Amino acid sequence: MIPRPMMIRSAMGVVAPAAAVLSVGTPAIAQDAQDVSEAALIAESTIVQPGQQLLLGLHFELAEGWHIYWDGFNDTGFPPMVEWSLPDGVRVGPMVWPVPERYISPGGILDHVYEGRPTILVPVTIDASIPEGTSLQIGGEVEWLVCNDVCLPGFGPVSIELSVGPQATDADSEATLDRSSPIGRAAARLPQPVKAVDDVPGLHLQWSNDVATIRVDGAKALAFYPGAGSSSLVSALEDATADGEVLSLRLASPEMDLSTRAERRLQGVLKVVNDRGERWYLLDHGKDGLRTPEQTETISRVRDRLERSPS
Amino acid sequence: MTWLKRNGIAILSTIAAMTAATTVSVALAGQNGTGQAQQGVTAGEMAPMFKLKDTNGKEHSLKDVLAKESTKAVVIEWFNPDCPFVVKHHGNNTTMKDLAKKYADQGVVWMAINSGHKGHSTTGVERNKSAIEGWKIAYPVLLDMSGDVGRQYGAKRTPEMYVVSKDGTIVYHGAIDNDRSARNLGDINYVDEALRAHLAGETIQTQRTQAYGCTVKYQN
Repeated sequence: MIPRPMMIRSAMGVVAPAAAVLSVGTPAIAQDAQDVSEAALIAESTIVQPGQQLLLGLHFELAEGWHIYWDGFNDTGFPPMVEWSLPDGVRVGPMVWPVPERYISPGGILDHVYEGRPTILVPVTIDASIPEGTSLQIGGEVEWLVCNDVCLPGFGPVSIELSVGPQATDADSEATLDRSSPIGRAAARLPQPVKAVDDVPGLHLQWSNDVATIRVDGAKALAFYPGAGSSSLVSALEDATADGEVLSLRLASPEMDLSTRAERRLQGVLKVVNDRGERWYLLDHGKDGLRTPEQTETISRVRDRLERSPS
Repeated sequence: MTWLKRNGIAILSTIAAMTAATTVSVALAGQNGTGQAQQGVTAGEMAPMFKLKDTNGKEHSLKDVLAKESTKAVVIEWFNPDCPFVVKHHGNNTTMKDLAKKYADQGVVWMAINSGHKGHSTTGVERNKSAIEGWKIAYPVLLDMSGDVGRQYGAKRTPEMYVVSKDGTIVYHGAIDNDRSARNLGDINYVDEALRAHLAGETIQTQRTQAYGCTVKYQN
């Protein structure tokens, strides 16, 4: 067996909403996912108001060198999944995924992953009719896969208790985010939804002969992370990164497209590196042009809140 | 906040349904684009011929197996005894063993290939022999420690399945079933359906799917 450094043992801990604390135990041989990963449900605040939309986070603590999976294109693995148990009056929206990292394994195997302490955002709405003083237990069964040189499946319950406080004012519902918290850090890695070409300075999109071309004037490097809603690419491994201003993405022929899309569609995250730094954009591009990406409203709201948050 | 506990989780059919519905796009091995490098083979293409030794040192040649009069089709299963998705189908369930048995007397030859590199904990005669014994696998596990055969096929995951017809054409390539999780079985077994249709002389409806699983542990 391969010795693995920095094993993390399951820790029962009282964790402040802002920051998770993990105990690092004695090195051992990893035999199940809990040896090298832990999952927890966290909240931006455990006091909520009737009618409020707030963010929970499905938070992972991963031992060094281990990763979990994004919900977009991966050759292997699968993203964390949650089966929620919710009290009446609480609604959970689709999870919002921060930008992952490309991860290439020998043999031309491409995945998009998270390492370290990733948090996947969970938008939650508290019904306005829930009275002050109510305690809300939000929970779920999580299944995930954690890998380094080997893979281990993890599953188990997560939960968090929220207390309903007084009725929200508009100002409360638009509260800023703590940038140093796991939820704040995840929010800072959300891509900007692109509704129009002008949203991305210098962007040009073109389809021709089954090749989608993305050009960004002034870019030093580009990368595309195909999302779950994208048509298959011939080779995301070869095509989806470029040094310079142009990415040419070959789309798989319809009979080779395993994404079961009725139409050609390029959906995913575009990374642009230029003199101003690194930026991420969420694109949904069909042959008929750009569409408003799914989750645009949720992501924009979180990004706006972060924008207004003190550094 | 509650940290995860490891035991006592019921398998929920809803999770199975959710998992089955997960759609992920794929960069397809074997895609024949214009002027593009081959990245392996897929359904509709010829299976690369190979000779590999099993855990008892016996050599198996795909060409020879196909040439046998009794052979009607060959199933190749990429294998790693310590991959949770392989464990799902060999340890927690007996998907592979049962299917191999179901079609054995209809001329279907089943073989597993482990393309993990020499230094990996999941490769080698000893580890794979113990898996064969532990799981009572009745077919050979071939060792491809150079990864040459795996790379020729473009196999990326364990398990990744190829069904090869008598004439050497790949007639199915992809997942064993339609549940990508490490726990639950899908409600469609693609290899079962491919074999049934192929042996009956019918067209296989689903010839390519995205395989799911662990990475094949190739040498750098």
